[in-house]
Amino acid sequence: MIISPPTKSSPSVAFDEDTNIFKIEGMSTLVNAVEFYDSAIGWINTNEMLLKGSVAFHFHLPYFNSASMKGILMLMQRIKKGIDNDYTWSISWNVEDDDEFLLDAAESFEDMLGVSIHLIRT
Amino acid sequence: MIDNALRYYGKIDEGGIVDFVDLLSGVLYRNLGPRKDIRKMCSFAIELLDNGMRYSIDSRVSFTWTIEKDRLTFELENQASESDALRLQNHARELHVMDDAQRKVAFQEQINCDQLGVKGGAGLGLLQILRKGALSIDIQIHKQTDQTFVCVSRIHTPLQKTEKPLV
Repeated sequence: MIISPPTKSSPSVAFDEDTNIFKIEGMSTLVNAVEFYDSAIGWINTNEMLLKGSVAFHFHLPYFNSASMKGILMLMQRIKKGIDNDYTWSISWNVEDDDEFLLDAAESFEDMLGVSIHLIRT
Repeated sequence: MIDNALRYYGKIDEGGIVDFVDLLSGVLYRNLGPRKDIRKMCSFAIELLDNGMRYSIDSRVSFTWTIEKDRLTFELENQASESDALRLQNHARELHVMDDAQRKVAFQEQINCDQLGVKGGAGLGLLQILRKGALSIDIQIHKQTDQTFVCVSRIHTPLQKTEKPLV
């Protein structure tokens, strides 16, 4: 199920009901980044019943601006709320080539959320 | 001695920033070889261009990168309103007097702040650039006869040699 299709400057947001993977993938250089990620949060709020099982939230964002970083944090805070409510949700973060920018971002999110983020190294 | 340089003048939008990132990452890879900090250097360009896109009053910027032996420099020039220009200058001054610990606290406060800037900015761009290792951010503003300001933002970042080539 595509929640938001990708554009040149925004990632795709999709939930696969067969694999229970909620994936955010692509570039994120949006002007209205907070609004964009807020709509993904809105989708989760509306469709929470679909996400009662074990859901992996997978972030694969090769580049993002700092406004997007704020939006991504808001989305992760919503995921944390689910985890705090005993949902078996997890967060994974794609890191290409052991890249510093992506590793630092994962560390910052982990630090701010207090939730473990699984790194997927590609 | 300059190894590589590019100057762009024209309109900028979200998609244009992606074009720059594609070009810059390719140029850095070819000039410096594979290394772990290429995305970090590109992220500095993203933040500068993002500022230009938000605050340029005619949607145009002049953007330059220069790769020298041990240093990468980005320069962004755009025309802005007086209030935006003065806010940029004051923000940079505040960040310069902070140490690393203060910048970390400021970052966490700002990213968790409910309010965005009037033009949708998160107020994190320059802070992130300094936190992630830029040597300096130099901001100059110049008043024009039409009461607008020209803002020039210049960032220097060191190009440390990698310990061993990444394969």
